[in-house]
Amino acid sequence: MLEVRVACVDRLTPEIRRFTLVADRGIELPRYSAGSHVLVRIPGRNRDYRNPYSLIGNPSSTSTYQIAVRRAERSRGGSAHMHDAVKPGARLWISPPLNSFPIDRLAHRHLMIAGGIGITPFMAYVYELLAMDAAFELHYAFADRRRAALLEALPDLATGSLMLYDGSAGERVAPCRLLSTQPLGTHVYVCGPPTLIETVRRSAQALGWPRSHVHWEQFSAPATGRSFTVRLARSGRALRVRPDKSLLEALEEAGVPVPNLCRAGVCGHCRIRMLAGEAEHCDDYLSDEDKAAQQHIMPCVSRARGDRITLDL
Amino acid sequence: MGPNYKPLSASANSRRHVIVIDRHGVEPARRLSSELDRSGDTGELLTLSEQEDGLPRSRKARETFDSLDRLRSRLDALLRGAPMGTMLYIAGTESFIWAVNTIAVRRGLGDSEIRREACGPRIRPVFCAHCRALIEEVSASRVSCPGCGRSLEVREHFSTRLGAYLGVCSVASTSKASVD
Repeated sequence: MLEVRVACVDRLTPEIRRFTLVADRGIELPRYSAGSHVLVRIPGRNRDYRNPYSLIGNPSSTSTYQIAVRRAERSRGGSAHMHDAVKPGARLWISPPLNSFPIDRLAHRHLMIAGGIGITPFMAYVYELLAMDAAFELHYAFADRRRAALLEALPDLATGSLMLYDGSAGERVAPCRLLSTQPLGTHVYVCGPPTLIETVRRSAQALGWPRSHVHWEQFSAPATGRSFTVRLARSGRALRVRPDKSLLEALEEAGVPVPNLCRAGVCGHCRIRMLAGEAEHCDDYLSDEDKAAQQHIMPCVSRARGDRITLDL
Repeated sequence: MGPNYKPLSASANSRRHVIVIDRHGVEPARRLSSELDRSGDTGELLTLSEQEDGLPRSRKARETFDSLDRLRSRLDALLRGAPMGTMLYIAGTESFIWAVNTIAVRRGLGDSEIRREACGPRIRPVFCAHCRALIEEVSASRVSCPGCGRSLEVREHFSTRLGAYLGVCSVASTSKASVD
C-alpha cells in the first residue's frame, strides 16, 4: 500500500467529489495505464473496507492521482466516509494501480460507452488515445446535466468524438445501433450500470462481434444478499454470512485468510473449492462450465444459492 | 507447430460471410454455402474465387479473378467497407490462405474472425530466417532461398504474424555445419 495525502477535494456535484492525491516529497507515484484503479483503504466499524476507484487523470503525469467518488444512496460506509470524513490534508492508504480494463493496443478503432459514474475510466482513456493518435468515439449517458460534472474535466475532443445523452431530456444511448455500424478492427468498451453492460454485451454477440473485441468494467456493488451459513471443512468451523457482507469479507473477519486481488470477480485469485451446496455465481472469471459444475466459488462477489455451502478451507 | 486448420463451418451470429477460395477450395465453399442455406442464414455472402466452375449457385455475389493480386486487391477494398460482425472463410493451399490472411489482418480482422481450411497439394509460404525473404510457394521440405541463396530446411515452426513457416539453413553433409 502507498501512503498519500489529499491535496484537494472538489465538490463537483452534491453526489460526486473529486480527490487529488499526492505522495510525500521525494516519492514518486507509480505510473499507470489508462483504465487502472486503486483500492482506497477506508476505516469501517468492524474492519477496513478497500474500495476501488478509477484513476481519472492523465496517465502521463504522475505527480498526482485523481479519483472521483460518487456517494452511493445506500452506502455501507465507504463512499459516505470519503465524502464526510476525508478532507484536504488527510492521509490515505491506497494500493498501487491495478488494471483490469486496459485499452486494446492493436484495435483500429475504439468505441467507448459510459453510463453515469462509469465515465471515470474513460477520462484517463482519452488522454492515452489522443497520445496514440487513435480513432475513437466516446458516448456518455447521464441522468441529468448536473450529474455530468465530470465533463468539465475531460480534455478538448474533436467534433464527433464525444456524444452526450441527457436522460432528463429523453436522450438514450442506443448500443445496438452503434454496434451495427462499426468498421472492422473496432473494440467496444462499456462501463456503467449492469443493465447497460448487459445490453452492450448481448447486442455485440447478436451482431457477430467476437468476444475478444468486447470489454467491460462493472463497479460492482458489494456482494450483499440473504444471509447464509458457510461451513469450513478443514477446520470444522461454521460461520454465518450477514446480508451486508460479502463471503470474502465474512471469512476475513473470522480470521480466515483468502488470497485476493481485484475483489470484483475478474482476477481469479480468491477462488475456493466448494464441497457442498450451490453458489449464486456473480463473477466474470469462472467459465459457464465451471459455474454449472458448482465445484468452485469466487467469494468476493458470489454467495450461496441456498442456506448453506461447505468450503475446502 | 503448424497452424490449426479446420473444415469450414458457418459462424452462427455473423451478419456477413465472405468466402475466399482458390481452385482447390471449391468443395469447402459448396459445403459451407449449403450449410448457410440450410440454416436460413440471411447474412450476406460473397465468394471470391480463382475460377467459375462448380461454385455454389444459390449465393448472392460471386466474383472470379484471374490473378491472386487482383483477388487480394478486391478483398482489401471489400473489407475496408465491411462492418464488425463479418466472418472471413479461406480455403485453398496454405500459400493461398496466408497470402489472403495478411490482407485481412491489415484491415483489422482478428483471429476469431477468420476461418481457414487447408486443401489441395501441400504448397506453403516460407520465411528465410537469415535474409528475411518470404518465399511464397514451396512444395518440398527444402528450398533454395531466392534472397540469399542459402539452402533452407523448411521447419514445422509457423509464425502467424508473418504467415509463413520458418526456413533455416542446414547443409546436408557430414562436414561440420553451423546452423545460424
